[in-house]
Amino acid sequence: NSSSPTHLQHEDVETLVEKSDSVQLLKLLKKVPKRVLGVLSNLSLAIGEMGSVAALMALGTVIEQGETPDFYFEKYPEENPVFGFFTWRWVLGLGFDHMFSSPIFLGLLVLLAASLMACTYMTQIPLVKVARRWNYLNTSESIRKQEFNDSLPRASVRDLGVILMGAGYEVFLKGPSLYAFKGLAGRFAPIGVHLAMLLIMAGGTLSATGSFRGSVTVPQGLNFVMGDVLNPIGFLSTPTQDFNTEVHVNRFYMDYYDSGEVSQFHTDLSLFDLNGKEVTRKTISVNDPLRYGGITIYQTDWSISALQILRDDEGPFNLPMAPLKLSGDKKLFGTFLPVGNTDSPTVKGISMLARDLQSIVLYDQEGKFVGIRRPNSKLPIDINGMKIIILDAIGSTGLDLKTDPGVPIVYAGFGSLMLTTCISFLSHSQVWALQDGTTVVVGGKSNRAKIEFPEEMNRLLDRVPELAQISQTK
Amino acid sequence: MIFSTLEHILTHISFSIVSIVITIFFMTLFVHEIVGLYNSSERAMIVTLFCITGILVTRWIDSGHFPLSNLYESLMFLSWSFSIIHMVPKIRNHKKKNLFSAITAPSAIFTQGFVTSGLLTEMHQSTILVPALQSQWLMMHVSMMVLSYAALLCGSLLSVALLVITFRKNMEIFCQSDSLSFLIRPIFFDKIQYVNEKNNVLRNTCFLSVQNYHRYQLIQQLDRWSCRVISLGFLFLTIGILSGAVWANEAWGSYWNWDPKETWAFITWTIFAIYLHTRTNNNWGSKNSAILASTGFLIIWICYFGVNLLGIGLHSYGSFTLN
Amino acid sequence: VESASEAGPCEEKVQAASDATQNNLFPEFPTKDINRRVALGSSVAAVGLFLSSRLDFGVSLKDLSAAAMPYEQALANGKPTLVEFYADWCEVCRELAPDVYKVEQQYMDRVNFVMLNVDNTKWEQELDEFGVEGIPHFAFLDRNGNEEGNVVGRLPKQYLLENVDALARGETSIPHSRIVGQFSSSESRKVHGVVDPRSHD
Ligand code: HEM
Repeated sequence: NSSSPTHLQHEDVETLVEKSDSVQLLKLLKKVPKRVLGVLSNLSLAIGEMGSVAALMALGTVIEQGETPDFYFEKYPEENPVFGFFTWRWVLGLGFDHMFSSPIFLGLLVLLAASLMACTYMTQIPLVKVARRWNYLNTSESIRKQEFNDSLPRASVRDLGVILMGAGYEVFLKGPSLYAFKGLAGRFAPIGVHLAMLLIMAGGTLSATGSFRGSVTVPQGLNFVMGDVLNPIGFLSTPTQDFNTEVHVNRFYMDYYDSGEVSQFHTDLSLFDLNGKEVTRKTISVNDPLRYGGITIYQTDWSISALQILRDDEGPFNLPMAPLKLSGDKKLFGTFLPVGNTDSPTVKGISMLARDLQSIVLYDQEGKFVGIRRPNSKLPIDINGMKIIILDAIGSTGLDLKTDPGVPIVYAGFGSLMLTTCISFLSHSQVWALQDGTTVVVGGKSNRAKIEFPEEMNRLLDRVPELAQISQTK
Repeated sequence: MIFSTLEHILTHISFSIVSIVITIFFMTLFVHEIVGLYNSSERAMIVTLFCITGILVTRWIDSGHFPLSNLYESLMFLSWSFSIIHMVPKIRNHKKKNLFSAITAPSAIFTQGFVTSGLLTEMHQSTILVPALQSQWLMMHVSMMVLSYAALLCGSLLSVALLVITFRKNMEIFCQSDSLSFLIRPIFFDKIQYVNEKNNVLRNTCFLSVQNYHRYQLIQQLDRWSCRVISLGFLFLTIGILSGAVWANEAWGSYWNWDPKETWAFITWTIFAIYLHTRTNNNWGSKNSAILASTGFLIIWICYFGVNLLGIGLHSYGSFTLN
Repeated sequence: VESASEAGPCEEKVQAASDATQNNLFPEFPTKDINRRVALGSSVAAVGLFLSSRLDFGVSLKDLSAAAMPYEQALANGKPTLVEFYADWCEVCRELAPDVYKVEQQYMDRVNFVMLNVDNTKWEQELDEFGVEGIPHFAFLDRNGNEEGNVVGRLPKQYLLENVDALARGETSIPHSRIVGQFSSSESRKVHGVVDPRSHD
């Protein structure tokens, strides 16, 4: 007999398999992405995320960034916590001292990106599909519910369609129902906005993980190799052949206004390849960098490297200038010309101080002020029996080098964000109509042009011809 | 030489006009209403607009660079933006803009008054442009930012007005007292007249429901207008922030340093993006989004003024990169 | 029945009746109002012009320094030189500017005119050399660059004219020297340090 209880039937096997745990788990796992997407695309969650990102950024501007731990111990002590609970433990523990690269902030940004992706997939793209289905309204009541509504006692919906087409609407007619819209772009712009945001975030991530950066201060007349200066930032950074280029600083100078303020910083640079051939030469200034092979060189700093002097008509001697610390960010450089026995432990000499390349202040052996000289005036000065002529003050230029693969993507994101935000400002209007006996019921709405839309509709409806002969349409 | 003299004259004229308008306004508010002067204030606004435009143009010619390099000039530009925003609905011939004017006109007047008063004299001189600001991007970025601030301020003030009206229980102050009536009366004049003519007997009893209906309409209008203005301001803010980022990349090698000024501009952008999103979801209601827009008002002032003031007090106001 | 798909955030939530009665923003204005406006406008313009007439018309320091010659060039071309030390914030310099300009126009071909801004660190050597303690400081140099005399502060135009005339005629001394009028101290010079290249305040 086939129906022996000891043998399992095929159906029993199936139900058994269904009820087993592993299959249930598999089904649950398939549902999870859908659920997760559903949760992520919740608008309130997105608003909450944006709000907390804003709050964290505000906090990041209030708390000083990038200071030593001692600073936070002092500023947010445990004995006297700010607002009663905020101590340095909060700051250092949560990473608030480097807020904009801290895990909590970056995690929120990742969550926001996930929300954006989920939202675009779940709600926006279906919106596109819905828009393609020309949704007719089939009852007069639903048409009268619209923002703008009117009825034409003796008219034909076909005439209305013709008028609307003349006014630039796309018209769709199905039996007695009419649907028309104008300005489709205004409906799809929000999708574009979110995609542009995602593009910007992707570009920013690429910049953070794949770029090279470096700064260097080069005295006038010296050179450096790009590869020595550029340091990788993230794990995706790979150097290129152009890193072997040698940069030579021909000249560094500053332009001044009449009242002494600096008008512009200029550095004359020449680039040489591995064979020593000059590949490019350009004078850069602050808003005008040099671009070569994906690497960009910016003018960002300056310094004084040496003073060239004649002593008793001998020379020229180059005295290196050292930076002296002052409060604030005004720079002061000084150098020292020893006089007399240079081997004695208490050697005395002439000090020369400079705040910029235009004037040098000289002090004698006792530290007394002697005079001021402008480097290109060639006027000699007598100090302690020596005749000093200051020939030149040689400056150094501070350059920042950078290569960033994410920049094209980020620029594309910027451009599309600007464009789509502009487009979303355009108006998008929709009109529905239904032939109800001899009356045409018209309704419409617009997303932007609240005032102009009723006026425009009134004008168009006035142009619909009134039917003289009434023909019954069913 | 002639241009700086011209600028001086225009500053004096605009200050005089502004003082007169403010005097009229306060007189109307507290003392007695003079209906005929309503048109005068409209004329005064047009003259003020021409004065400010003249000041900006002469300053541009005199100093050789676009007049947006220090706080004085950007405040001047801000009051110009307010005047432009005030004028735009009139050009497009929307008649019912008295509500809108009630916000933009005082903003323009008070900002211009503050700028041309004696409080900022030390900044009046045309200044030189530091090396970092000598770029074409200065025009686009800063002008967009200031325009956006003006639009967003107007929008958030409209939301504040909406909240004020929502929370006021008695409508007396709008229909009968003289205080704001020279601004609001033209809206209600016809409707109240109509009601009076139609139904003299039931006037008193119906008045309250008519009041509520008007109040409701007012709220709806304010809601719509604040949304429109904030959308426009949001667009300008987006363009301003993005052009600023591109400029930073051209000048200093990094399109986003988290320095306070940029960060606060981004915070402002986020707040108003949240505002736009609360409006797509109908459950939130117009009151809550208005509260949000009102907080935006504070945030814009922090972004515009607060960062500059605090930057002087803090240790080192500089830019820190993402390292 | 499927309702219409979403519109933008500024969509109106409730059906509103079309607003029929509009109040006219610009009613017929009576001529009285126009007259009042014209009167107001002209009185305001009069006030503005009155205030402006108290300002300096004519030459500014900027014009003067634009017309001046570079210092090195002036010392090298064999003509006598008048050097004026000035600053943008110096009231007296501003007041004397028209007079200096007129003298300059008159003697342009015979005497060099040099304007040195004391806020500029480039001229610190000259400040030290000429012993400038107050501005405006006028130094009169002969054709070899030697100082014949100096005048500090507000001086009558006649003195300036006679001094420059003496320079032009090649005399070894100037009639009015060591005169001190109202001046601003050169200690209050505003030396601007070199700005950081990235600073954008
Ligand atoms: C960084 C985060 C976001 C930004 C900056 C952003 C920005 C924007 C902007 C500017 C608009 C256009 C508004 C308009 O055109 O009037 C918009 C629309 C919209 N956003 Fe977002 N959004 C973000 C995240 C999200 C998320 C995560 C969701 C979903 C949960 C979402 C849902 C929507 C919806 C439904 C619209 C459509 C409103 C309309 O059709 O006008 N947004 N968003």
